[in-house]
Amino acid sequence: MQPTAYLRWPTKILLRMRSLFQRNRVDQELEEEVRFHLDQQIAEEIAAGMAPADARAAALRKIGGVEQVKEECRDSRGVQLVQDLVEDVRYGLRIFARAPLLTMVIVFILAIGIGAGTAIYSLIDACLLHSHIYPVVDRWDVVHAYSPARKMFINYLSVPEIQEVRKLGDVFEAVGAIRGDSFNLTGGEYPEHVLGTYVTANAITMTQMAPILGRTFTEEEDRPGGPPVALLSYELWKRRYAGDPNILGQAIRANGAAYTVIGVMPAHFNLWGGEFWIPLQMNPSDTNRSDRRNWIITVLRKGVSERAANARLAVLAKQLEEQHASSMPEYRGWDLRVWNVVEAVIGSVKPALLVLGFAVAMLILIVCANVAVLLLARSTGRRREIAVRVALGAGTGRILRQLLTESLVLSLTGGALGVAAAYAFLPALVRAIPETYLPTAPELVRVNSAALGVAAGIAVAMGVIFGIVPGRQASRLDLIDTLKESSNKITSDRSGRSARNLMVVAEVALSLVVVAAAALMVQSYKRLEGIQLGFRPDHLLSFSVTLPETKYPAATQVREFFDRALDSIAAVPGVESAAAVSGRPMVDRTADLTSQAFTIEGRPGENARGAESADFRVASAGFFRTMGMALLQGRTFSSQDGRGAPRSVVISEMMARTYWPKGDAVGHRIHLGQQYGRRDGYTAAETGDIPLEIVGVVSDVRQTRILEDPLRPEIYLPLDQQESAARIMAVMVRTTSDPAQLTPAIRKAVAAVDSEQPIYDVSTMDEIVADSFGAKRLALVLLVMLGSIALLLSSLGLYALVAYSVSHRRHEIGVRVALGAQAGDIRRLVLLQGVRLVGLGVAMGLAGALLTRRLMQSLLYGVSANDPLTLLGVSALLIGAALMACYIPASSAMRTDPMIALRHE
Amino acid sequence: MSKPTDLVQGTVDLLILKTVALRPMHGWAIAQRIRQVSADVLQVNQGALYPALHRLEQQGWIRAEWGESENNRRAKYYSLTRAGKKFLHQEQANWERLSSAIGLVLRTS
Repeated sequence: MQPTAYLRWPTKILLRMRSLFQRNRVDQELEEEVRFHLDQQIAEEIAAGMAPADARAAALRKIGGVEQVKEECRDSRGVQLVQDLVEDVRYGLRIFARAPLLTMVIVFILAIGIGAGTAIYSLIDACLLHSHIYPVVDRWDVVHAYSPARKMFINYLSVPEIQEVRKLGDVFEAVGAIRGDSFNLTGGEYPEHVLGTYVTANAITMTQMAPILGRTFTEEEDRPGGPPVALLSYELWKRRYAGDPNILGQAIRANGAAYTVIGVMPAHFNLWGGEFWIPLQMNPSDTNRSDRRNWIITVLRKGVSERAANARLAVLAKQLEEQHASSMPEYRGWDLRVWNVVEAVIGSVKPALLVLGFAVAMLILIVCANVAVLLLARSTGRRREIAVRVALGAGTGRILRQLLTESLVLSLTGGALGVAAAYAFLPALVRAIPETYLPTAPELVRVNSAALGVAAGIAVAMGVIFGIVPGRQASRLDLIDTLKESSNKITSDRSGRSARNLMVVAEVALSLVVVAAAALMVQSYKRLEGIQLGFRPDHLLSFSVTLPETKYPAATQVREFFDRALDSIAAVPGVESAAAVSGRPMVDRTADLTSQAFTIEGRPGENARGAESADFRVASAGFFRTMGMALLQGRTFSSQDGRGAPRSVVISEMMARTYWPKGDAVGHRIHLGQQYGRRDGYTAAETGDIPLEIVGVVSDVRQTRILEDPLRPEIYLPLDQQESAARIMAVMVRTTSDPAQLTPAIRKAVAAVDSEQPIYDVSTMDEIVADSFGAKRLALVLLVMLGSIALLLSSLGLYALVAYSVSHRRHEIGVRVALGAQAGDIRRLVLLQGVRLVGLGVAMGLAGALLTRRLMQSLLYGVSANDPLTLLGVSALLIGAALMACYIPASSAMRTDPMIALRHE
Repeated sequence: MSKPTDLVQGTVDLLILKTVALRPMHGWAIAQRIRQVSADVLQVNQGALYPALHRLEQQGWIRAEWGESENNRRAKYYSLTRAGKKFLHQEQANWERLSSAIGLVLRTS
């Protein structure tokens, strides 16, 4: 049968509408139709010779229940479901109105769970999935190399290496190269410093994003000697060029050179943090393998896994080793790998987001269990009502449908409230995250359709589960017993009780996992706060300066600029001292940017296993004093270390301890070797045979913003002795008053030396330190919040369960008291019931915490994820809270008056 | 309360459709006619007749109109729609195929 082939929808819908909205008329007609039939039947009976009075009875007998026929007709009209639904919702609302507190508690709990779920899911979606920005994001990879000699990944690669990866067309759909750089934009009202990116033409097209204005680069523009053209970001276009619709064809001045604007990219397109893009114009015949300055970005072919790509890259790495290891010893043991771009960008926040997502999932389960306990208790109380309905002829399906409707009304109300709460609180949540830790634009984090889908899914799933479980219980109801039994007697409701107990045990167990995670984060945060920074962050201001090559071509000019600028800044009232450095501690280092190989004079043995490597910074004489670093041995730089004087170097404590464990580092000499990851504008120490004498040892400072990163050895070189110019430098200013207040005066002091020279990235070191704690603090605050809610909910669940069972055992307790039980005995009886459940829950929770320790460990510093003291403390906390939750109903049980309890019967 | 099986339900539907295909008829007449034509073998119970009529109307196979009965009373007359006619042909063919197939099986084995 294929009825749909013949359906005449308009008629059908009309009929159903009629049934729905003209219900009375339809019912009347039905009544009339059935009566007509009955009358005919009576007439027939009379015709057969029956007396009229008997005929009617006989006809009714033959027809069967008139009402039943009518009911079935209504059913077959197919609108009964809708009518029932409306009635069920109405009935449900009436029931809820009768127990407003319970209903409010349930809706509130549901709202918390669904709200938290929606908000955190939105955050994770915006940060981790990025699907709303870049279409190819999951196949988008960086190719980088692992160097066993340096025990680190090398992200910047050379032109020949890029060309070799480009040949792997079987795994990569596209291979491009990029290089971030720093530019001073001039020619407008004010000079401005921005980050720009040199890109191969295909680096833009591979993102599959189209410009909103103009076009992207052509291959011709990307060849050496191609025309100077630029593509602007939406943000730069709006900010600096006021969204000028006629920008195309105009020239912008960056680092003194003119670039013709050919296009504007859409908002939030911030490929590699750049605000504008320029063709890389890489020379494909370049054969210099040690000049590594570009990142390789690729899009994997559809269906090619990262594993397959890595296998293909391993073959290439092997070839490189065979062909070039003799001239480039570095290639020995080299490994090339792909690295997903999202992973690369969000690596530092991913564990936190995963743990948060996990904690929210736990919370939702706790909410489920909690609501289930409350609803189960209620449905047991409604057994009589349900039994009456069954007795009056309601089918199992009908009862189930009613319970389902009720629980769906509850869960959807809770869900709607939760989603509203998520809408309301998400912006505040996002504001609480320092922007550097938000791997996406804050305005992109919003409750999106996916999050709404998740919320709706959770709400519906909860509603269905909460409807079906008690419904199934009701369907197994023994009618006679239930109707006979007094509502206050101990019920024989074994399965209901064990289901409730199970839920409470699960709740306690899940809460323990969440609370333990929060407690571990608190411990870890405390350890982090105890980390020695190695300098005094208070009253310390820092900013960056990039001197364009066009204006400052020679190293002497650069030095001269800094000499004058530092003097000018030092003269500002409130400034104690100022110093220049090639990279701010905790800010300006990516591991391979400033890595420097070195050898120690008189230790040939170390050359055999390759050069040692250290971070290095070039600093002006006053740097160590300005930073507030401790001098441990020897001296720091002074006027002795000028041009022409013997070359000197200051090393960090960690380096001294590693290579001169006897504490005699001062006076030894080192040679600098290969410098890795050189980038334009950053200082390059000269390689070669000039010996550098260690003149002092200073305290270790934290090198990156990730506080728990292990320290690497550090070499400081005096600025005055450097032959090549450092164009990108940071300036540190030690002040006696509030450093943030001095920014305008310092800006003016720099402008007095060069009015076209912008300063940027101005921030106090206190801010930078606080920022470093930011991601951890956020995860901490959220986890503590989730943990508290979990604790509260599980206590509430336990309280509800014990209170419920006390109220149902009032009769039994009354008998016990009448028979001479003391108040203490009663309390013990009730408490024991709770304690048994909590004990079981805590045991299961501890097992759960051990199972999740791998996930947790990545977030922790200086504390083990199965730290016994923490777990013990959390268990004690949970048991304490549980005892308190049980204590209230226990004391109310204790005061049971036997007379009242027994009369209650 | 078990619902009639599909076969039974389908059969009643078929009988009703075939009956109203002659001319518009009210429920009572339909039941009477089925009984007479089948020589009292098939008796469509009222409890099954009216729900079936309402269902068929909902599905658009038959339409209902109020008219006057033989004894001058208001009665609901059902008649076959065009879609219903097609459906009847198809169902009748199906039924004949099925019953001859069953007959074949019963005779041979």
